[in-house]
Amino acid sequence: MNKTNKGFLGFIKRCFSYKNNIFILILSLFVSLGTALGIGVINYNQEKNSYYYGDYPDNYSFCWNVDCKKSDLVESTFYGLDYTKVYTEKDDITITNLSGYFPKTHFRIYGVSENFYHYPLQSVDCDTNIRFSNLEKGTSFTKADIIQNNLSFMMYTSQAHLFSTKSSSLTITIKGQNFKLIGTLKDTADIDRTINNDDINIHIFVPYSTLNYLFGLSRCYYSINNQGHTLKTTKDNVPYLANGMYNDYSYFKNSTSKLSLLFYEIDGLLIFLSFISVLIVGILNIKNRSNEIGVRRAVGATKDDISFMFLSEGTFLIGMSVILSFVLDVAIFGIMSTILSQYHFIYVFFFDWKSTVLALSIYYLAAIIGVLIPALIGSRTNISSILVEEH
Amino acid sequence: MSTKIIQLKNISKSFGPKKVLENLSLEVDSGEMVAILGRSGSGKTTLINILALFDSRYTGDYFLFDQKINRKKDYSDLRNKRIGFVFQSYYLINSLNVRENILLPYQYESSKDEVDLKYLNYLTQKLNITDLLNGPVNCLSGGEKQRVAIARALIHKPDLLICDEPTGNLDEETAKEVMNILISFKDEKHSILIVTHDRRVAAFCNRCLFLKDRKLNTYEQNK
Repeated sequence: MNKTNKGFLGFIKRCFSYKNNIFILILSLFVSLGTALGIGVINYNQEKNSYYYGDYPDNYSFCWNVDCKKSDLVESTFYGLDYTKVYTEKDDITITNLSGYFPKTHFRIYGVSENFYHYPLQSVDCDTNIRFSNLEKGTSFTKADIIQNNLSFMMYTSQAHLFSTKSSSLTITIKGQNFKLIGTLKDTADIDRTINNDDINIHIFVPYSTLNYLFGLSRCYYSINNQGHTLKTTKDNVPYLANGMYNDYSYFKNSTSKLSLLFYEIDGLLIFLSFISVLIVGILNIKNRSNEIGVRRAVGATKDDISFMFLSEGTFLIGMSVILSFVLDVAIFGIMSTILSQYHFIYVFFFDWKSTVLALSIYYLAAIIGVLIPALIGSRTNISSILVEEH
Repeated sequence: MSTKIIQLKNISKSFGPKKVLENLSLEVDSGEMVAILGRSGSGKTTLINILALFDSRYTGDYFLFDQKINRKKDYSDLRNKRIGFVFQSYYLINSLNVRENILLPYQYESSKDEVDLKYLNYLTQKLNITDLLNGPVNCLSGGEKQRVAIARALIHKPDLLICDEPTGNLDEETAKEVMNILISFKDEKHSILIVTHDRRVAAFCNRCLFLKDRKLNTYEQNK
């Protein structure tokens, strides 16, 4: 029976009793959703544009770091290949200079592992054969095998992370595309050391040719280390190809930077406009509720009580819209990714909760300032001009 | 022995060059019902704003409940506990129901007392609004709204009830009804100060004062 409208339910009821409050909620929802979606696209362009590390085009190898830093791409060097000479021979890759022991097999480059670095070549040979031979046919994989079957291999840590058992012959799905795993690399492998400067060892390696086959070169965003020693040791056509790729990468990086800037500007403008809108609606709210402010002051509310009332309403409504927009954001990214992956447009949206939370927090703070100013104005309303009418 | 509820000593108030009140003095005793009359623009509104602690920009001394009013203080606690307000336009909050409107002062009391349900029942029965308690306020008639506003003003059993044209928006019959309610509360030792321009309302009071030439004068009913 002690119903003074003082509890949480009373507060909720009050929040939804005013048209201006509902307007603030809807406005805030749209703006925060727009901000979150925008930052997702920015994030995709800036940070998460699928970190590939390009090996030589000739050896058809390509590594795909599922979760690593941008610095991995541009700063890493591929010293591992200093121990080898890699060149094309028809469609095959041959690795020589390893005491002539290494047999001419296809794509032996994938066999780079801990053994390759630490142990006699015989072990390497055995290891790589075991790992990457086509057990069904009893031969090594050909280029055609790899392209057509979407073969890949992953780091040992990745295997342990993803599967508790041996992963060879399993099918994995990366960004909506199925790959058949043909082996694993130990974490201490030379290739891992060279590309994994930041101690992130969750990698899945996808042959370059496979990637090209699946998505086309225009969809293969990559980075080439054009300063590494490896380019100098390859055949003449390799630097040319590598430079071409680097140019492609530069073009991609440049265009995405411009796109990101645009999205940052849109997001910034959106947040600024929402701040102004919330401010104006808040002031209108104060005007519309001036009688309520007056009567509350008359029955004992302090200035702080009044400002707290408006601030708590605004904080709650905007907070609710931010949480709701985060949930909608996740759902929209999920749906868009599912739909677009069917058409190979798999990199258009990328959801990163950290960036989204950061963007929404910035929006929330801006909106709270937009609510705070009217709340302070409301608390300083001159009640003598409101309640007592001239007569 | 009666105690002074209100003491105004040489109160002056100006709006720019225009003087509205000049060396005005007033005393209201406990349990007294005083009407303040005056023509439009005579300064009634200004006086009530000072008396209700809504306006602190004046000169002179104001003693309320034997306490000198410091013009820099807010006195929200005093308004909450010891003063009740009844306004011409009721000022009920539409987002709250009748009960919540009546209990509004409890939201802002510093002592966090429990609602005195016995007194609430007594008030609502006396004001004949018991059946309306859980309903919205925007469906009430003018008389019902004013009775709810009176209940809100009295819920904390204030020592002083300040009424600004309490019957201004009511028809004659309802106005009489409301005045009878206020008189019954006067009998319960609430001091009541009514600002009005309606002589029929003033006729209900012990004492009538007329605000003229920036000063209060005793008003004789037969005038």
